[in-house]
Amino acid sequence: MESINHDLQASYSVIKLLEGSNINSERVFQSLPGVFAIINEKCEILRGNQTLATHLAVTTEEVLRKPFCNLFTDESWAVFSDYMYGLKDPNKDIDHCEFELGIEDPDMISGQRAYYWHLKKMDVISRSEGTLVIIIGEDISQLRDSEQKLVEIFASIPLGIFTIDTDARIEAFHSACLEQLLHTHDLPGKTIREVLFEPAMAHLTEKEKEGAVSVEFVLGQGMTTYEMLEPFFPKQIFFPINGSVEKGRWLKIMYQPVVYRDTVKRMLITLEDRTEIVKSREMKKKARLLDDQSVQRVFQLKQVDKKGLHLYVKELNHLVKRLRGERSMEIDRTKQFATVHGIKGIARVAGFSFLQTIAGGLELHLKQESASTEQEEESFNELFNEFSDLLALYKAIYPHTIDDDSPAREEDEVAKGNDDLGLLFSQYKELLDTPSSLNRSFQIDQVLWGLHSYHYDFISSLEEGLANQVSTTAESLGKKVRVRFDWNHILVKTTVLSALNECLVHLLNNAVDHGIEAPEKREKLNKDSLGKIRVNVTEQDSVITCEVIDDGAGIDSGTIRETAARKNIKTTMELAEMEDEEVLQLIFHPGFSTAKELSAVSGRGIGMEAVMANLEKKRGAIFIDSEKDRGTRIQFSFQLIGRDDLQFAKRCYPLAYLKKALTDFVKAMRKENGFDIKMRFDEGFDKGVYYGDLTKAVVGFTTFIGSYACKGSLSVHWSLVREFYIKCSCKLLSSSASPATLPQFSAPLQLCRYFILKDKGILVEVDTMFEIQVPYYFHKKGAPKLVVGYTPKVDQKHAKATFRKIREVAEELDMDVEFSGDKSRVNMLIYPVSANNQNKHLLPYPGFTVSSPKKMIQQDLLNGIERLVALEKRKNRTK
Amino acid sequence: METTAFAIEAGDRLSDYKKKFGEIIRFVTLSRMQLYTDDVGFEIIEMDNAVSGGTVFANTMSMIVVAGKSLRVVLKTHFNHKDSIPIARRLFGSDEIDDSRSYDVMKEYCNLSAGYLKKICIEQDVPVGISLPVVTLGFNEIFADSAETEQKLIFEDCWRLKDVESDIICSCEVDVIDPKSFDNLMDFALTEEEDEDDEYDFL
Repeated sequence: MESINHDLQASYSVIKLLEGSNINSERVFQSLPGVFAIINEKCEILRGNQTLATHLAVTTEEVLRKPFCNLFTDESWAVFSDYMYGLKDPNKDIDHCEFELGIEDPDMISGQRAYYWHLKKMDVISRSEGTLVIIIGEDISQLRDSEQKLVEIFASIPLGIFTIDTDARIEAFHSACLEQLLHTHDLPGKTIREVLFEPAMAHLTEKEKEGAVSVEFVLGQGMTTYEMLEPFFPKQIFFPINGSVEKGRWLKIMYQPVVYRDTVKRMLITLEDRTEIVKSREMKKKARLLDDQSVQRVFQLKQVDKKGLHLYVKELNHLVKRLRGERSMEIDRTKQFATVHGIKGIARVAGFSFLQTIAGGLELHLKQESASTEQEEESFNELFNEFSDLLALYKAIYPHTIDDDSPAREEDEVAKGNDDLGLLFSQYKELLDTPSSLNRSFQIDQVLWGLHSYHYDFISSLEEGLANQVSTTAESLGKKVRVRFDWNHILVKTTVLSALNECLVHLLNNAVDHGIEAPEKREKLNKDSLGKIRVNVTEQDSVITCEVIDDGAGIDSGTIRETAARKNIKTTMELAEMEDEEVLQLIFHPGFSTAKELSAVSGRGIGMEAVMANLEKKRGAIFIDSEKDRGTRIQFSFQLIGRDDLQFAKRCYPLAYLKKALTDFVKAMRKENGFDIKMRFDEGFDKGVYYGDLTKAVVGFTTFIGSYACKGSLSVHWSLVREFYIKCSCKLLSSSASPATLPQFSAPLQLCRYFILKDKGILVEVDTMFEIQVPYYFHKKGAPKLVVGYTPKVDQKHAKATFRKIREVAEELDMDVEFSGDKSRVNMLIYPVSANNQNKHLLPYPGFTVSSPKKMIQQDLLNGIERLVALEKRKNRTK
Repeated sequence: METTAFAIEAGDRLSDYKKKFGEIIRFVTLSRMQLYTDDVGFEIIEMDNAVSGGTVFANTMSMIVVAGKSLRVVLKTHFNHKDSIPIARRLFGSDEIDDSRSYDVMKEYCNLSAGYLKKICIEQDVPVGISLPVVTLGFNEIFADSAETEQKLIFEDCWRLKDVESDIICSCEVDVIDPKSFDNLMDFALTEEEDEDDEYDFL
């Protein structure tokens, strides 16, 4: 009995342990967050936790057999039961599902509490209860509240925030402000190009357009590519609203890549409305400009050679009146364009930069049919107003009116008719009125160059005068001096020339007077008795640098210090703290002169000051380097402005194109001027690529031909030499008894010479012949190696078909081209057809559009070579 | 009362056996409850719905097994806390009754019922023994869905025991191993016997 009792007690202990563990498990179950329930076939609760009981407003015991549907509204329950029945359906092999569905909760503002449900079918099937389902509900109402708050905060941020995916498409989540900024809805799914860049395209610079393409290009690429291209992304653009500029806004754009495994997976973009800031800045700038402009107009008028000024203004007046008439009578746009073009040309020659710019802008409007009427009207008014201001200033400075046909006064006598300038003007007017053609365009440029020439001259034209000056000065001082000038083919405006001349006169006078010693003294110092002065002038990127170097006594810094102290220019203490290099600069101080007596030559102390003042006007700088008894080097430099016309605009053309332009121009010369010119081209001019400034080439060559043809009958021979040069050899076959004087062929010669020499060409001129050689890219040699690939979006079959056409075109141009799939070698690509093809030059690689016609392929090939040449030049420059 | 199919061995007296056993078990549970609570107000209420195995009747159940060579009875009492408290209060007075105490009360009740059934069986020459009583979740009933086999027949029964304050459900599952043993039980007279305190083995 006792044994049975012990067994019973042991069993009892085990049972108690199990019961205890059961109770604890139940407590854990009851305290589970969220809803836990097990329901039967009839959706009655067989087990439920405290949270469930609370929602049902019953005790945990009363939960048994309660319908689970009591948690939901009818509509929600329909959704829930749909999921459940799907689970229970024996035909469907699903044993669990998840979904979000709210339950009824009067405590919530919305009346619903957000829950996320997990349903799982139990393995046990009870005969009476049927299929049992375990339900776990996570209360996500707080999460949804936080999300809602975030959305509200997001909506209130006055920034357009959005992300784009690897296809550059806007993703679903974006700030409310974005729609307002871009004035559009339904943004998700649209590309950034469609909604942001395309509407603003007309207001983007070329660089910004390129950057816009890069924004899409970097998606899906590595961070290295992103970092390389990010600086070119557009950072602030003008965004017109519905095409209207008045309602447009300035948007600042900030980019943030979202990177995963070094790949840009998406991009976060923020737009900020900066319209008011930009407007206010522009208004301030405009106000400042207006002040500057008035001063500048006066300056421009004063700068122009008086000889031409009257003619320029008169001509402009005539053209502006004509334009007003054309406008009011709504004459054909082509004619209006021609008139505006004429105004721009004269303004350019005369140096009226504001008028030139405005005319240039108006030209663009007239060219683009799509420009709005208001914009065009505004442009016209701007031009008329500008000319009115100019005219008013002109009349104020030169009181005689330009409408007055009476003879001009003596002091500002203007030649009419017989004068070359007048002739050029007449020609200019005639050309403007004749029908448009490429030849006419070259002829107009020729005339304009002629007009330009009146404002330019080579620096070397100063040589004779300065050399004489030095010689005279040296003689008067009993010194022997030889001066050498080193200035190659630098062309500057006459006003700059006079300022430079003034600087050099002062510096050379000082060099002779204070620098070069008397011959006896030089001999004592074991120097050649002949003192030497060298003047070097160079030009780089429109900056003129001059050096005046002598082998004289050098500048003694001690003497400078003494003089500066004596004249109270600096205190003794200040002078003691100054380095010798600083002390030397004191010679430019007003009134400084170390000469103990005034001489005819120097000692006035205003010489160097005048040099300094001149340089300051030109925004220049000056440096002095000197060593006692060894010599002095003075270097100064200044920036030249307004030299756009002297720059080269190099493009690629088929060489045959150049040949035709030259042939047609010469034909016109024969016809219009009665010239006798025999011309022939060597073989090779029909193929190859010309890389250069076509206008300068055609006008340059034909001006020389014309100038010689004026003298008699001419033979002109064109050849290709040393692989890379075009050579024009011209010989007078017989001289005319009465040579013609045609200013359009003589006036531009100066500029023609300048351009040939600046372009590293060769020019040989004698009375009866000339020879010009200019460089270009020709045939296969010298041109960049062209390796064509294709982008992944292009079908290989189409790529190959396109490449066949490319090869045909390349053969016609005598260029080498290769087709390759090796990405490391490819430098041109075949792209698929897309809107970007209109701005192909903005794509990361130069290229072609698949299946395009041969004419377009030729243009693309030439554009591609241009880009590659420019790239090569850039690389060589950085080396 | 829902039964699985009986073997032909039971013959025509099948329904009599089932009816008699049902009477006995009801008598047992009712008499013990009345004795236990000293409340003759308890009565048996038949449940109209057909019962199959695995029905969850209440949140908690106490269970005990009475078993021998010829039969096995699993006797369960299904109750909610609110129904067990009045019963417990009758035993312990108006003290605070927690879950643990009410579970003990119901376990003891199960024990008493099983003990009485055992006594009856032994007296009718059907030797059986009883297990220890256990309390567990009422939900666990779903796992009690037994299946009939070749070796045994099963029938199930359930009824309510109700008074003014309490409403509990009793259920049993009877495995009949030897139908002939029921012949012995057929002669049992349903009359209350005097308490014999020392017959109960208290733990």
